[in-house]
Amino acid sequence: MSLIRACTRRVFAPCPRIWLSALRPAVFSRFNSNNPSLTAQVFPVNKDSITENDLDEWLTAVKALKNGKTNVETESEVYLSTLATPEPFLEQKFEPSEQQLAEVEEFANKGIPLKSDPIVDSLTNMIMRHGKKSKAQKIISKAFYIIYLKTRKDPVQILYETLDKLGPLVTTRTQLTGTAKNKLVPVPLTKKQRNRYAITWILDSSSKKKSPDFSVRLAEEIIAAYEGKSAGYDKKAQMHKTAMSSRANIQL
Amino acid sequence: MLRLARLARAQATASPSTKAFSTTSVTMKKAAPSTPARKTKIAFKVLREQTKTKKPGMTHLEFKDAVGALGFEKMAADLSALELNKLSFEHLAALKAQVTRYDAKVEPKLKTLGSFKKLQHHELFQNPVSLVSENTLRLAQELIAKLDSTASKDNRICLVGPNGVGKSTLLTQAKALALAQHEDVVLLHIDNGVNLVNGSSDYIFNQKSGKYQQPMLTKRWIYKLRQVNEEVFKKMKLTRDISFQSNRVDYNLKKNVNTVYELLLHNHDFGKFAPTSAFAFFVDELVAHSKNFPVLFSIDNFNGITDYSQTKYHHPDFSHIHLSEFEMGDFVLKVTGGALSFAKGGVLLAKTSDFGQHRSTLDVALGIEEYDPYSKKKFLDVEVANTLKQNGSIKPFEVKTWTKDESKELLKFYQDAGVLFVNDYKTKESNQTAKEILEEKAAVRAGKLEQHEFDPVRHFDRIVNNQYTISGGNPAHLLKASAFIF
Repeated sequence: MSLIRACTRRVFAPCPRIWLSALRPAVFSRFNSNNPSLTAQVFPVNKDSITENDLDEWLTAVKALKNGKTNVETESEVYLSTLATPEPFLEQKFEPSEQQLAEVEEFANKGIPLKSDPIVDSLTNMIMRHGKKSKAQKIISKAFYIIYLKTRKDPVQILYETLDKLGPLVTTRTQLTGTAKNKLVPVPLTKKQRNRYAITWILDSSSKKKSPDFSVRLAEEIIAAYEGKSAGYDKKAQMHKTAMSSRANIQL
Repeated sequence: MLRLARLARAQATASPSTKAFSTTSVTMKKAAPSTPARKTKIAFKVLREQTKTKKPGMTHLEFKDAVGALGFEKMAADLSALELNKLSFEHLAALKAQVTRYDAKVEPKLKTLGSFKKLQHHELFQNPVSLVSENTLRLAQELIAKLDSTASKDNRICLVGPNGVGKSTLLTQAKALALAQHEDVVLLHIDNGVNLVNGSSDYIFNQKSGKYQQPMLTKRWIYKLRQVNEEVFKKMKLTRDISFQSNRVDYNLKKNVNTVYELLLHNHDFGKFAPTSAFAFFVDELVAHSKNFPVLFSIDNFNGITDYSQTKYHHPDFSHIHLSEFEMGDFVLKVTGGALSFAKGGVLLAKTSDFGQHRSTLDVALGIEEYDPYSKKKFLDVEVANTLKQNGSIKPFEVKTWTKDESKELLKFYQDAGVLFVNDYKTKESNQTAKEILEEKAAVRAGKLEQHEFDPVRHFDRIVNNQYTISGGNPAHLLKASAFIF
């Protein structure tokens, strides 16, 4: 179907242009390109109107090709024969403009910018429930707005600093020894894991605040954590203490 | 079942020696203990007070209310370094596309009138600011300039436009310009029209005037007007004598001696839950003085009144009371319809898009929508529409969206004020592995990869283009895109 559609577009498109040429010759200035299309060659725009001879020639060409003529001669035959090989017409080739090429060149050696902040994204994903991401984003936007109003600093920067302060450095994992007593082994955390712990603690503590609006509770908790008042710091200290007590089990 | 029961009863009567099976509580009861139980003292239980654990936090409010109530504007940076111009009528043309502040005298008046509303982001700055747009200039020409010369019935305008286009802000600017243009202008402003009809006030029928009165609503409004127009009211001498009693003190105010301010200060009849003619007297005084003291009557959310003309209040037979049956409602309809005209002054109304679009009374009155005879009375009140159409009809004023230059100017101001952060965009660095980081460093050293250079000017232009495209020049959307940019 797409083939037929493409062919018909190529065949019938020029006809109204020819008829319009009598009325509005100025419109055709756009055809003055260096590489005129096949249609423009077969049906040049300087033709004032379609004569009976043109139509006869067209019908003769159709009949001849239908009867199995292979060596095409007239212009109409050339045009119609191309309908049998529509590949070049169906090919969708993008040709960038000079401006676009210059822009590409400008950014050729530079890093690709991220669409959004990865840490804010991870916070969004942890807040999100039932796949409602935009709802989570709205909560964060409102929370950041309150953080800005309260601190008058860049809220994203404040989140970064808070997570850095609140995130634990080590955790402990139980190593099975096969005997009666298992070992607790301290394990360092990656940046992503540290952030995850910090965000979880912030979200836990924010649920205890009194505002019915989650964005307000979240903002309050982030501000508290930024000022070093969050309950998450106790949890962090406890984790570090456990890790310190079992530091003899570190395997290097 | 019946047969079985009869059988069982017959068996029980026939052989009294055999015990019939029974599940009654008497047979299943435990045998009494041989030793009597120790007597326990009966005492009253002391009920411990269940103390609720207090939850920590700044506020118990929701976001919308919390942002306004927590006084964040006090923490805002001082903008005196930016040297913002005052909004003035004289130099208005020179202030085009500039962010302006309100005059120190005017600002508290506007605050009292409730002109600065929630979610207009006024908490971002110490004092409210506004941008002089093309709309401001147009309104100043069409309404404010005529305040001194035209009767209010010939100077009626209603601001219309899509949600967030700046109708309420324009109303505030108009009031500020009116005060700047004419010292003795009287401002009568209703900040939310719905309050007249939504059943939030008490009401009482005045048999003498044949209208319902809303004492609390009237009292509060009069109190606001007294504060805002104090200087003007002190200049207005009474045109009639009036005597009344308040706080067990008799007052006899004389014409040409006492002032309207004294009337409003001492007369407590406005809020009395009894029929009174105080409000009518006050209106008569305003009309009498309007030759020398122009009156600007403005209502925000005006379609809240007209589109809900069948109010939430009820007659004794539980039918709805019509807007025109209220003293305040009648006053509003008369002034906006031109039946009651101030010799000098104007009427400025603003429509809101918060209500259902199917309610078309105001649109029909303004000629925006055609009259539909098949429309329900609930959605189209023809009487109200016809009242508003009288005396040459109210002129609709289409508030237009901002141009790109105006939007850019606002964002530039935001950047200067420290509200808008023009930061470098994030790259993949934080998610890279150690190997990728090493490879990248090597590439930079070899000259294959350039270090990214941040151009804040170019980045700001990008933000402007982006936000103007998102908002389409709608100020509220632009503010939202700037304030909630993260």
